[in-house]
Amino acid sequence: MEKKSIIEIHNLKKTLDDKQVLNGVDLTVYEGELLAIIGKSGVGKSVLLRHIIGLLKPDSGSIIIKNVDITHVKQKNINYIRQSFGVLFQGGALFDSLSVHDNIAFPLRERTLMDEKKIEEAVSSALDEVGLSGIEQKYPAELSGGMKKRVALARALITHPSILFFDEPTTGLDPIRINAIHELIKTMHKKNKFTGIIVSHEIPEIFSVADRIAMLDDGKILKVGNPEEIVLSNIPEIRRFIYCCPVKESSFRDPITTLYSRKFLEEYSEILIAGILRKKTSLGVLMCDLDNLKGVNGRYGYDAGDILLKESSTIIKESVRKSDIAIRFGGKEFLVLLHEVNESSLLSVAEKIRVGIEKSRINIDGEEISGTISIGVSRFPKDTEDFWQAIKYANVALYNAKDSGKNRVVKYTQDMWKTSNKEAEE
Amino acid sequence: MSRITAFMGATFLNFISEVGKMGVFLFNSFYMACLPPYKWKLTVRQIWFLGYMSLLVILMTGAFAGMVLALQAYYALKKFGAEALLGPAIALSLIREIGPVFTALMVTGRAGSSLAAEIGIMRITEQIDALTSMALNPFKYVIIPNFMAALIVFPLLTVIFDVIGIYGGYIVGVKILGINGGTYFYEMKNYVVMKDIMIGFYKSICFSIIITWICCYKGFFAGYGARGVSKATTEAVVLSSISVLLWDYIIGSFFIT
Repeated sequence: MEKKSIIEIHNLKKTLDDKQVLNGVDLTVYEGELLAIIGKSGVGKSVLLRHIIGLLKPDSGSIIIKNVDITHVKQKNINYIRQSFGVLFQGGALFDSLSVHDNIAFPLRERTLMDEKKIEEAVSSALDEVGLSGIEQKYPAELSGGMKKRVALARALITHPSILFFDEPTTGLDPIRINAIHELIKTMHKKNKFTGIIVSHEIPEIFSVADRIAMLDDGKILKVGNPEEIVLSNIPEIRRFIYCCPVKESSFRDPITTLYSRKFLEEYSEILIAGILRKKTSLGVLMCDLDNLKGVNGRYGYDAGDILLKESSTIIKESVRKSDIAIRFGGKEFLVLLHEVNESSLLSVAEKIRVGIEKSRINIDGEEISGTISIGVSRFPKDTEDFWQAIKYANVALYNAKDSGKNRVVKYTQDMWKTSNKEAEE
Repeated sequence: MSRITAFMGATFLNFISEVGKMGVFLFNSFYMACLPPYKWKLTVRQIWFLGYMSLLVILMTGAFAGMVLALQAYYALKKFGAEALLGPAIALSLIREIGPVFTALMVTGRAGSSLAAEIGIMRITEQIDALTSMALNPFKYVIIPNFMAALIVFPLLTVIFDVIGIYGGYIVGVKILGINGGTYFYEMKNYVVMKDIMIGFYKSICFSIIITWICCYKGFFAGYGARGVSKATTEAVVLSSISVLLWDYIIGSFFIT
């Protein structure tokens, strides 16, 4: 089904204090999605959000919301569009002089003709949803940062907006509260089905919240894509931002093969899993093990072993698509994760890798040597709904391949797990 | 030389731009005040804040102003043997000048500064943006109730200041300096006319608009952070005080000529 756009931004430009903050932003937001805008501090994320809400006027460009260009309409028409908005500001923006109850009731009292009894019920239910029942009579000054954000979220949701904006909803909170706010956003989004735009710094947490990510840099949208695409992007600015510094980025890469390291998988597995489950697709898991690396190391030395590892990793990289992920999982083990493949394609990719390595030759001190590889295959979430279990299944299949004479591809079946458990018990 | 010229030019242009912005702000305030919905509840809250909360300051300054005025006027009038006119001298000074001006300056110091600070904090904590994003007009909630309240409160506070000042003068003039109590009030009736009272009333109305206008404007466009709010508050108080005295002179000279 074709996605329907709800917000379209074209060539948006804005200069503030002689600085070109937005320099031709183009962005489309689709109905019902959660889009996160990420980028360095001061890059103009909040400025962009304020333009979409209509709090700032651009120098040029257009912002089309629900087919109305808000940059070229009268104030009352912008207000008509704003009635479908809910905004969670960075500091909550609760009214100091009003109690929590009155803050949440405020949009209902001012914008609807609801009677007080119904308003009271709506406020109680909104507070209940954000897990803050019983604080109706408190004032904003008596609340903690996290509570303020949750009350502000309740206020933003009380009118059931179709578009909800979150301006750095977790700024200044501790990691536990950051997760709590993110979980709340996910739950509310699932329940209320609004279109959400989140401005955030929280890397990598935001990847497991948003459906798509837009990276803003140098006044422009550098890349828009799903979290996996952003995490795996090769654009240097994105890599620098996500991995913070070269040291952190290098810890996600294996120094010999330059494939992703196991640490990378541990850090970003949640994003991958969330993406697979969200898109209701599957992930092919190939657990590969070089059969004769130990022998090469023993006979020709570790340098020769490293060359074999490099050669094998190159073949693996060349055998899969750019969107797939190849990881050096252990000493001589590689884990390959293939997006959206059916069983036959998965097995043929595994076979391609196996044949490629078998046919390759490397020259060590004038002597030609070759390697072989055994591959275990499983599928997530088809074989199991637990991602790490799918890796274990692939591993079980790999040991079956090794036991059956190495240099082969074996697909995981349920009996293998039972047999493996039985053997472990014995 | 060219640098000085450029600086003066820039300063002048900034001044013109600021005056223009303030003019638009005032026009918007009056325009919005005419359109429904009317926020009476907020207006009542601001009457309490601007009026009731300023009452003690007005009572005290009114009493002491009257007392000091009595001392000074008695000293001057005695030289001409006209001590009997102490009552009218105090009443005219208070009703025409001191009452409206002192009330305006006192309310500026007590409520105007906190008004600018409160609106400034609303600005920097995005409460004003929150109103806008809810499709509501911030002028209706933040600015207009203050104008309405000030228009009601300033004349009332001025009247209270005048009455307390006259009684302060009575205590000094009659109870301490020994002037006849009947003369004090009787001569007042002969010299104070309705025009004097109306001048005081017009002044208090003008000052209420000036102070609310400047304090709300400065708060509404406060800069970022605590520094921005502090700057806005200081500017609001200084500019309001100067404007009150300037406008007092303009109205005074207009009515005298």
